[in-house]
Amino acid sequence: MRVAGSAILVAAVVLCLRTAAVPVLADGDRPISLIALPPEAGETAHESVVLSAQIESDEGPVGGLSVNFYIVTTVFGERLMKVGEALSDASGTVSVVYRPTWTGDHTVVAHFDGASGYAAAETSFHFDAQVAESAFEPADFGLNPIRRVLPFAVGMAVLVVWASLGFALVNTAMGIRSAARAAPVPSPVQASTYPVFIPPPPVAQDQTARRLAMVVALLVVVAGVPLIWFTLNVSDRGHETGVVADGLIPGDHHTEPVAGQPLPATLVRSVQTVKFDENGQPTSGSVPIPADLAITAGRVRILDSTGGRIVTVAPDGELIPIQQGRGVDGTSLKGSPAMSSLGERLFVVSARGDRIVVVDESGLIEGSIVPSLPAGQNPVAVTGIALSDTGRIWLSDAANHRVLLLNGRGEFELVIGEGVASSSDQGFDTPTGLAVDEDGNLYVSDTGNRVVKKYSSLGILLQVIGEGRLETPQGVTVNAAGRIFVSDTAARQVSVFAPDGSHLGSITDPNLEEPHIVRTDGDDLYVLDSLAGMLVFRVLEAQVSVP
Amino acid sequence: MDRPFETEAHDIRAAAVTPILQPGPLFWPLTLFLSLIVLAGAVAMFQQLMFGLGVTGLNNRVSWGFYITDMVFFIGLSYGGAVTSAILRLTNAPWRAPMVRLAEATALVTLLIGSLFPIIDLGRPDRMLNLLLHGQVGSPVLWDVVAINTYMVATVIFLFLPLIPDMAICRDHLGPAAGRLRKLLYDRLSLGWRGTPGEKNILERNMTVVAVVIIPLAVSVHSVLAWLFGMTVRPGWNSTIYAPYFVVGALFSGVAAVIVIIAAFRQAYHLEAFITEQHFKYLANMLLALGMAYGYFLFAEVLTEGYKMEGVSMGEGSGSLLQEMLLGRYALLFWGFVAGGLVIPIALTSLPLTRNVPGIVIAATLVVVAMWVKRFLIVVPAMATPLMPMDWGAYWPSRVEIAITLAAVAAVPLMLMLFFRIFPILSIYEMEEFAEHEELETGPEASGVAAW
Amino acid sequence: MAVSRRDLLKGLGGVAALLLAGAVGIGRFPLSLAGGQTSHKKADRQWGMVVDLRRCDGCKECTGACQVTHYLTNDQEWIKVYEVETENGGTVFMPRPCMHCEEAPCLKVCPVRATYKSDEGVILIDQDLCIGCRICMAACPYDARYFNWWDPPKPPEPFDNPMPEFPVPQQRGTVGKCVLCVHYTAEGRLPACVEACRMDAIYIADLTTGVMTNRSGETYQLRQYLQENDAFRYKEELNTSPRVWYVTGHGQSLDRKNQG
Repeated sequence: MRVAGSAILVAAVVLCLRTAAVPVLADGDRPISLIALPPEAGETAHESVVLSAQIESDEGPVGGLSVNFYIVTTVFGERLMKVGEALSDASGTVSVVYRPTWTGDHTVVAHFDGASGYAAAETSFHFDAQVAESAFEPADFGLNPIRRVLPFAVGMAVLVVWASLGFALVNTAMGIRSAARAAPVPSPVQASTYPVFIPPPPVAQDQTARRLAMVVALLVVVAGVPLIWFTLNVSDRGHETGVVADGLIPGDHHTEPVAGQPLPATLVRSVQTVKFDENGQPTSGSVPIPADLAITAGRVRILDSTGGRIVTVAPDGELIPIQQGRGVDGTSLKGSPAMSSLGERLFVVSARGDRIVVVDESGLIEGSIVPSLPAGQNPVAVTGIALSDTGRIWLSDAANHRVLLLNGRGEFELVIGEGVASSSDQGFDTPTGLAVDEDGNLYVSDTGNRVVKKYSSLGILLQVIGEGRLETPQGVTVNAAGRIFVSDTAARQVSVFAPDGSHLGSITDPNLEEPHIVRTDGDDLYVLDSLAGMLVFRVLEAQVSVP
Repeated sequence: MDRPFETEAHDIRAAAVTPILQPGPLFWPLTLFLSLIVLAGAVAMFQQLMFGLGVTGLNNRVSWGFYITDMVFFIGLSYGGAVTSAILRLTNAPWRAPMVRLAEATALVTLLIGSLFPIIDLGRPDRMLNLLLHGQVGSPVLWDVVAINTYMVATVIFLFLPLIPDMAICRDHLGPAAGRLRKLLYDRLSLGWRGTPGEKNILERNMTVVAVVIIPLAVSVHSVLAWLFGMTVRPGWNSTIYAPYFVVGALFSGVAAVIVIIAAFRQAYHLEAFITEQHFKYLANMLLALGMAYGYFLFAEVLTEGYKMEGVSMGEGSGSLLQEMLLGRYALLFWGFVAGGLVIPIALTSLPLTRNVPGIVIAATLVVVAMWVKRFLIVVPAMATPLMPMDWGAYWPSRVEIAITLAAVAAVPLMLMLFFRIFPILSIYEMEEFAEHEELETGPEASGVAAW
Repeated sequence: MAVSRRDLLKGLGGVAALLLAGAVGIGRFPLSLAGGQTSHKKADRQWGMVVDLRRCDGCKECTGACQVTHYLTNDQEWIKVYEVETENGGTVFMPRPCMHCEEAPCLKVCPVRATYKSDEGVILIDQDLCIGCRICMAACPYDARYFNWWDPPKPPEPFDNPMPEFPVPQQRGTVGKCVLCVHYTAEGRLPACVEACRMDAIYIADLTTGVMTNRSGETYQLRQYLQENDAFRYKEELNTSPRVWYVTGHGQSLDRKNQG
């Protein structure tokens, strides 16, 4: 009773009644107090309790005030469980009915927070939950008598069957022996029944059969070797998991891409994006699902789409979050699938393509570009974004098999694609990664068609790259020399093509597991791998010479 | 020919042991060829053991695929032995005698192969013993284990009993041509048989016992296999007719397999004198009847499912299981099965023009292949059906699964060829018994059931 | 007939011997005849879950947190977020953990009793027993089970003692699924997905005390909350009695597509 005019709350229960006095923070010149009322006999049944309180000020009872009642739970630490809210009547009385769900001591907290003041009160009572109303309905597991009887019935049937079989076998064996004893005639075999066997005359080995045999033997050798090779050739693990082919549709059988010669590349750096502290817990910088990677001003940024943030990869491999939470306008990067850089800025596109968040080099959200698109062109699943030097924005929409071009203000300029999966010049089947070269040409990783397509900035197809060389092209990037790097997720490699589209080779490092994003920075090739994290390769110019 | 099955005792014996003594010039190359396919399967199996089931095309959506299909298929094939042998024995059809050995051996071989597939399909085959040590009788998998093993023992006994007198014949008459090991084997397996009436009586009696036991056993095995699926709530599997449906399907494919195997060995070992066109016509009658029964089950299934539009799909842009089966992604396989497994075989076996050996064998071959496809259509689409709001699951078998399946297919003729290098290809005893009874004009009723 | 008494006795003797052997065999092996294993004693806590679909924004934080906690590969989504199309063309996100059914179909079909119901009502898998037959995956109507097709990732040192309550690391060739983080709840900590849900959409519930609570401490009386918010259980018609409730409210539009 710290303050004059105390508030008292009473929990009226059947078995036990305790009261506690709790202060009320009075509102200026109009002090208010809560006074508890004892319950009337018979007011409570065995399954419920009336929690009641009375609000009084110096001038008497106060009506029309809202009071919340809570029970303290301890299942996960002390937590307040709201059980009801009621308004005080003209006599200042507030009461709610509470149906306890467990046996034991209950601590009640009443809370009043209004324009006229703030008050919290606490008391406790004991409740014996004989008819506790719990949501838990223990199931009678053996509700089904068949399942009780079945094992015994089946067991007996099985035993009878085994017994009959055993009987037949044992009886035959023993019977033959005893029958033999009963007939003492020592005949080797009854000649009258069994005429003496004369081996059949040897079949003339005719030449056609012999020749046929040789042909078959030859077939064995010709067919057997590839057969063994065929089965031996599956050991590259991860390969099979990467490709989940569609249902058994005729003509849908994937053809294996032609393997390119391995391209020498040195792994210069490897950063696992999920890190653990000494307790085995992931560190705050951990990125469980790295979505995209960009390099601005020499810094490597990784988009963490689950965390809704951008992290910088420090030179020592540590991941430092530079952008978390929401921008001033409430935008979040959560769920964003891709980002691109232009100058110092990062452009992060949302999954539905309805917002492109612009992040500056320090991680602050500068603002958003909201695309304005004609009806029917709204993307459903954006998988890639690329910016030209002039600030025009390309977006790939994997679900609608389209690629959209917006200007710097987000206004619609151009669309490539037919809205359905297609393998035509102006069509895609699940376009994913995008890249723009220095001339403003666009490279689209057409995953379903297993090629990379090159378009002019006006959307005219210039080139189809990597036909028969790619299995699941995803990320694509172009370096200053015009070389095209394509991450082939299922094939676990990064394929490299010359500017004219010829295949230079593939980087097949054992560390590559599911490479999905590629970016270049000078000689360095950054690969973002959904399992292996970030890998950096150095591909020397001399080694990438055109063969 | 008024007595199509009558032959002389001497000829029976000579023909029955020809594969043992003179298997022909094609035997070894063919054995080598089939062994290589089996070896390729073994290599694939080894890889699967090394790397885990990830080498298969299975995934978390479609977690049963080729292996379970193969299991149902091969165990189904083993029904041919049960029906042509046990049922015909109980009904005392004398024409069965020349083909029971081939049918029973086919049953055993396909059962041995089929029973391997649940083990191949296990993620941890090393823990197989847990089925005994921690078995839970409420599980359909355990029912399978018990039923298949029991059926296998019964099949072995069923094959072994009529083999006892044949072993005695081989023991006494093959002489040094048999070789030392075979001689020892004949000696042991003939159990001292001398062919007295008392011995014959005991043998007949017990063969009847086993024939009586093996029919409900065979029915139980495939019912239990059906319940492996039927005990789940998946669309397509959640069906009450599954057990009889599976049993009829197994009989259908089993008879077809027996026709194919008999035709092949008849051709290879020149058994035309014993296994006549009439045999094929009788078997074709069974195939025809079973095919119609299976077609009826299929119709009943499709009608009751389709009428109520059960299993409405949750996924975007895809229909229910039945829609996908009849018109969608599985339509080609489904209608391929209907045409190749029901319509064409029924036509071939019923039209007088094609009711001859080549026509019947073509029909049976089509049925065997189509029934594999049907099993695939039972297993995979039901697994791929979306149970949650998402698209259809995807499955494409990996090379490991294809290799193991091919190896199993190759193992059937291989094991049969090797089997008949040791055991007579014809049931000499039974054929001679019938020949004898015909001579005595007591009729076939005197043997078999009547003795018991 | 030619059946001698001697033969008959021998035959009967054989049958008796076989029956005896069978009986001994069944007695020898602890075959469960009750069908399915369930604990008859009930613990003080019975865990369940409530998901408020009005709040879920489909960010999949729960999935990621679960995978990090249990050292899972990306394809093992023990709590998986589905995107459900609604009639008016929008979408609702629906996280799906294991439903921990009272009448769990997976539990009934397991041939080796590897799947069992713990005292706390959580369906767990003893991966030391599992033979990898995958019939439980076929039986689960919620697609909540995942198979370890390859060797699972190796966690750091302190976590190399897998147990059903905390199956880390997973074992190749066995089935894994959501364990409702019972290793956390036992210590009074929230499950990883509940802790990770920034939208406060996922509640952990104790069914015996009837209390549900989420990451930010909102705590309600379970039964009251379920009734007031028209909670439903997914695929109720299957009679699996799931322990996960979903809340869609009273017909408010939940569509995400129409929101900015």
